[in-house]
Amino acid sequence: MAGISSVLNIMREAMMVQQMAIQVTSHNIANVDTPGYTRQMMVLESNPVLLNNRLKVGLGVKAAVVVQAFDRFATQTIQQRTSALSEFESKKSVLDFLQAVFNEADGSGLTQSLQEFWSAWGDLSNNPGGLLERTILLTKATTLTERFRFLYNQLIQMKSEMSGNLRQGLQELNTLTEQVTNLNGKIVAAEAGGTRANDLRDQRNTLIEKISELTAIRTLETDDGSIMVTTASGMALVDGIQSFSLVPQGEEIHWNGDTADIRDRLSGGKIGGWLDLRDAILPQYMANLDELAGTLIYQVNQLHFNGVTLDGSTGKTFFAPNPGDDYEAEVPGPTFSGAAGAIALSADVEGIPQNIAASSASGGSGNNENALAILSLQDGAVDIRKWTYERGSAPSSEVQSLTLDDYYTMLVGDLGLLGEEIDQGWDFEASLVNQLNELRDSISGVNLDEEMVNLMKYQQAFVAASKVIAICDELLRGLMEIR
Amino acid sequence: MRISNRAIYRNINFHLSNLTEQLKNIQERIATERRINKPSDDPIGTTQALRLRKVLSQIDQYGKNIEGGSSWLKVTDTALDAIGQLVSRAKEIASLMSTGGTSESEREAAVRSVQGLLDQLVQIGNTKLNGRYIFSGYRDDTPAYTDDLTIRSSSADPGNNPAYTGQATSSGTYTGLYGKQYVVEITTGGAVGVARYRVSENGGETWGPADAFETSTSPTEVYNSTDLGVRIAFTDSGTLTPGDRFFIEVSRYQGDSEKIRIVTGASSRVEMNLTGTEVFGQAGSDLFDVLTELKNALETNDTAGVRACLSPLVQFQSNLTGYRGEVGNRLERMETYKKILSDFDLQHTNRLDEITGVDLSQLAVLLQLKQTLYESALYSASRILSLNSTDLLR
Repeated sequence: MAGISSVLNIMREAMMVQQMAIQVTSHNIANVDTPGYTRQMMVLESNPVLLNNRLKVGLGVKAAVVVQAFDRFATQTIQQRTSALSEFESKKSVLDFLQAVFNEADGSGLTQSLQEFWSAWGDLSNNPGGLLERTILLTKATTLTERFRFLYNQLIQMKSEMSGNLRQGLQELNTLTEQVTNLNGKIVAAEAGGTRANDLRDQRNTLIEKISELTAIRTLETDDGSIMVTTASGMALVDGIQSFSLVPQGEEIHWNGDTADIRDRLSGGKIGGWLDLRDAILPQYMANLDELAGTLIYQVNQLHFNGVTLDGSTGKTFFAPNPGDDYEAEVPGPTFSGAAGAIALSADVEGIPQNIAASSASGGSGNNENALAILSLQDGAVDIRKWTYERGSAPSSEVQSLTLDDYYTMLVGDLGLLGEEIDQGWDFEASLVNQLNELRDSISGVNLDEEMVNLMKYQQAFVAASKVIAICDELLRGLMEIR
Repeated sequence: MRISNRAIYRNINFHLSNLTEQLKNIQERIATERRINKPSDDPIGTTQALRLRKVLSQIDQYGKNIEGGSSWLKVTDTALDAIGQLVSRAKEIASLMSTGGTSESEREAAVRSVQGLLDQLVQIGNTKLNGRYIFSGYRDDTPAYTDDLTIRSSSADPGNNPAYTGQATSSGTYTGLYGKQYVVEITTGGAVGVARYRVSENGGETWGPADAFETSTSPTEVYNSTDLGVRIAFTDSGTLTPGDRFFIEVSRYQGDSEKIRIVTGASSRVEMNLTGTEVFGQAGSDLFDVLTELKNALETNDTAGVRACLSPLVQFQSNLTGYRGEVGNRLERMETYKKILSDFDLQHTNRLDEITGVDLSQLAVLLQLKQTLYESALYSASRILSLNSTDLLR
């Protein structure tokens, strides 16, 4: 039915639609700073045409749907890169700490203790009978062993801290996956009627981004609007309204009450970073430090064992523990595991400087040959194993021929290279994530100017509609005045 | 490109925090005066720096060793000089007294002088440096020379037959005037009590008759021509074989013939000491024996004996000159080492500085630059943030 009443109806509808549009705009403005918020837009459609005596007359506007300016590609890429970024982040902080602990930048770390240890042997060789030189040597050796134990304990402490982080991280992950399943349920229910649950989706995306901070994941949205989350290796974390928990069990991690260890299937994110640190990077440094301490113990002890003390006796060791070494048969212990954490002066020499074997034969306190022999260790290459730890495979080692000093220098160099690699990785990922966020914001973010313009647009439409109603009113009044 | 407000804030934050971090790094470098503050700042530089520091600390150690060696050599040189003067004095006395026609009182005075020289010689022989006797070899905690001749404990020939597992012990009270090197050689094999031996008094140059003495578990004679009270006892264990040798030295020397080496470089060891045997000579013909001989000859007015002392004294004098030259050479070598080391030290310190040090003026300029950048970033941020369409659109 055409006519004034029809116009009035169209305008009533139009005013309601413009009000709704203003509401959407105000929702955008209100959420300008909400993290994870995706800009929403009201889609307007004209009403179906009414056929009126061969004339097609429009019937006004209607609000079709409120859509999100959502960029699926940017969002998924951000999820992936976030995992990489937070993996680097977790490693970066530990590596920074490790480098500070090793403290080799100003040459006051283990290197210096080692140098002073060798120098003390040098001083002793200049006066092999001197009690002062002997006492200084014992002091320097004690400092060296303390330095070893300090480093080792820091590594152990760092390792147990990683275990604590992992427990907390997994707990957080489980909470997050559970929240995602809740939202899955709500979104499926809300969207069953055909509308889009925009704000719920925003919340869910924010949660998924938090999950990807913890570990690398893949997501798949199903037709009903629920999302499936798996780890990068394909292990399900969320499926519809069911979530699967990851539970730490000692060093292992178990999936959903299963008894198999699934650590190797977790990578990326903070959890991946912590696992790398705890199960590969830190144990590797500990093993290599053990190797250094063990080789030092063996090499020094072997020479010392065969040397002669001030009172003419032999068979004294210098360092403890004696890791199953047979000095007379020249057989080093099969493993030096734990040597760096236990290295100390042996009971033979501790507090008994006379028992330092500086001589090669009895009958002369001026005999410095054994001190010279031990001093030669500083420049002599020895066979020493270098360990490599990788997650998912057994530790492997290769024998290298290096001086003890060079071996440690190599360890510090490796630490520096790893640190540099991680710093660079972090820089790259951080600026990448920043750019991706910018890309996503260029689509999904709220621009206040734009919203202000929209607001004015809708306002004007609203005012125009009121004007039309006023005119209709005049028209009706004119009609009423016909007598 | 659409720019959302969130993007503006994030960008401002991201870049400002980046600049802050760079400022912090520059500041850290300036404050520590180090380019490398953790190994990852420059891993290769770090390992180079570690190696250089090791080398520097070794250079330091070598320097200390050389310093110690030099003072040892200087003390040795002083001692050699004193001995040289002493020998000259002895030579003077000998040549003065060898002409004959000297009075009793002159001879007595000469005897006293020689006795004084002998006492002085023991003192010089026992020169100490930092509590170490420099002429004692490895036995640096024992005075090199005693005032009297002493029978040293016997030692077996290094190439001795292992069939004899016992030990030979020397004993007795020496009644001779001069040092001697007795050698006991088994000439008839067998167990102790059966085996017999002969004796040399001059280290094996000349021998007494074979089978002169029977081995015994109680002290038995050891002499060739005259019994001077030296005895040897064998413990009964194993069989003695002809050719087995045992040495008994009668001397004032208590040191050994070992050379003390010091480290002057990664693979260079330098002998530092002269032993008493080198400087003063072998027992039996050492400087003490010559002076004792001189003294005895003077006491008995044996002019020929006095004259006979002249040529060994001349020999000693030339030996001493040789040793002084040797010590001088070593000292010079030490000086050269020291110079090389200080060059090395300078080079390595410079290298280390290049690797780890900072160029402060460059950093100051960089800091200024970053500071300006930071300030302009803040300024532009404040300008952008204050732009607001709500003020303009009405």
